[in-house]
Amino acid sequence: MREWARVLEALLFAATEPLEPRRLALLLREGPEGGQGFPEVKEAEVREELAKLAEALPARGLILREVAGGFRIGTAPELAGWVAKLKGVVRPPRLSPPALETMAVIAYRQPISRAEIEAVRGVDCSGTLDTLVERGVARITGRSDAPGRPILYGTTPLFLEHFGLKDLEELPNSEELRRVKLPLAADPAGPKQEELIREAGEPAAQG
Amino acid sequence: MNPGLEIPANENLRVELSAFTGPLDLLLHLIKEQEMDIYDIRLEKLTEQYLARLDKMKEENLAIAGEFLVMAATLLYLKSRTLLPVQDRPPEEVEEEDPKWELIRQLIEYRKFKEAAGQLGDREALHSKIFGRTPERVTVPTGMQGPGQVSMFDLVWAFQKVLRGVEERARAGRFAEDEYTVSEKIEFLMDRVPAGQEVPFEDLFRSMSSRGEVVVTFLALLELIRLRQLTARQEKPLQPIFIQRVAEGGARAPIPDREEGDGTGQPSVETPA
Repeated sequence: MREWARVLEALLFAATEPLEPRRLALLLREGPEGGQGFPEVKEAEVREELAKLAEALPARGLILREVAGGFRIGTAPELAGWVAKLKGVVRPPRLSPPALETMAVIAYRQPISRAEIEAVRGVDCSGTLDTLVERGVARITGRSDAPGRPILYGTTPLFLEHFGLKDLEELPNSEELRRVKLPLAADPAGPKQEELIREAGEPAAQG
Repeated sequence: MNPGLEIPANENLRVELSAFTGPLDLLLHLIKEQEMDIYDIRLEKLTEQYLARLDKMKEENLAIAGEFLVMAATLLYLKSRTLLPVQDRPPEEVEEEDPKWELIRQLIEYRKFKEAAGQLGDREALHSKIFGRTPERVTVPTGMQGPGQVSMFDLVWAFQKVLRGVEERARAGRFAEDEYTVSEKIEFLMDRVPAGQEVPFEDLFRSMSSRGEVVVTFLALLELIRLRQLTARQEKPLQPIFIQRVAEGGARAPIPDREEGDGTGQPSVETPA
């Protein structure tokens, strides 16, 4: 065991966000304020120790996860009931099925506009989008050059953490889903539908 | 579908609309229920089932989202189209492929994302059982703590009082709304609060008559407190708040890097676990 392995564990324990191996190596090399660091530490060595720690932790009721580009200590999932009781959490905050659908479309197709998401889901998504942005799992990434310059949405680092993903590549079936040809917001079926509604005297539900 | 949603045994058709995330979801459910091949949907049967569901929901006085009605219209259109002989179709449509395929494509694409959403949901279920350390409660910068010091809430409370005063003045008929910037007001405050002097909090806003100006000035004040340039003092709760400069020697705390913060713009202090 390398002498700085304890430092590594302390840093991971105290952190409130995932720590990247590169940053950990830097912290170890720099050393504490006014103290001596470990100038020889390399990122690869940090990764080795992280792997060892990941193996050792479950015996202590903790786990080490690689999420959002970094490593983070958490409590073991099978102990959730105990920890939830301590923290007074009744139910872990989960997303609703509509919000999950919107989340999936954003995750695989970002950056994406609301109209494009709605073209996939077939329903108004403004409410779920607000929820996702509020929860910090989606964010506005910019504006499209398309007419009307619609706002584009994408995922956040918290999205990766919330779903326990290392990075976007780790999304299940990402290859297949990214290649999915999306129905365009302005595709030929669109106007026809709207004409139909007008004829039926129903107000258009989608803006 | 929705866990926890109970379907009465005697009425297995009774599935609430809220169980479906949209008309495409309902269609997929019906296609599965009718054991249809998605590439070979029987429009007539599907439309019939779909409308039956909608009727059922109407009977139960459930609000039906507009999108469900749009889909009903689309299905009826597609069905009616199959009844027309090809030569009777509008000329612009004869050349085109069957619009039914547009719906099928949409269903297939939607289904992929629905499955992906399901997988995300599974991941979420697992990872919501893992607790990590959360940032400590945001603590007030040290410059504002200690006996005789002012909490964030005191400041906000005092600020609200100022704001109310401004609104009354504004009602008295002032319109000119200039643009103010925080950096401009930072300079203003540094001028207004010379070293070695204490200025009552409310005096800082005395000359101001617009809500915008007061808000921007308050933001500038918070920024200066955060940057350890100014500090607030109060003898006792509810007594006037005074603003003064931080003594030169007192500004030892390094100015926190904005990028390093926790996103709230407030430096948080870790307490030992």
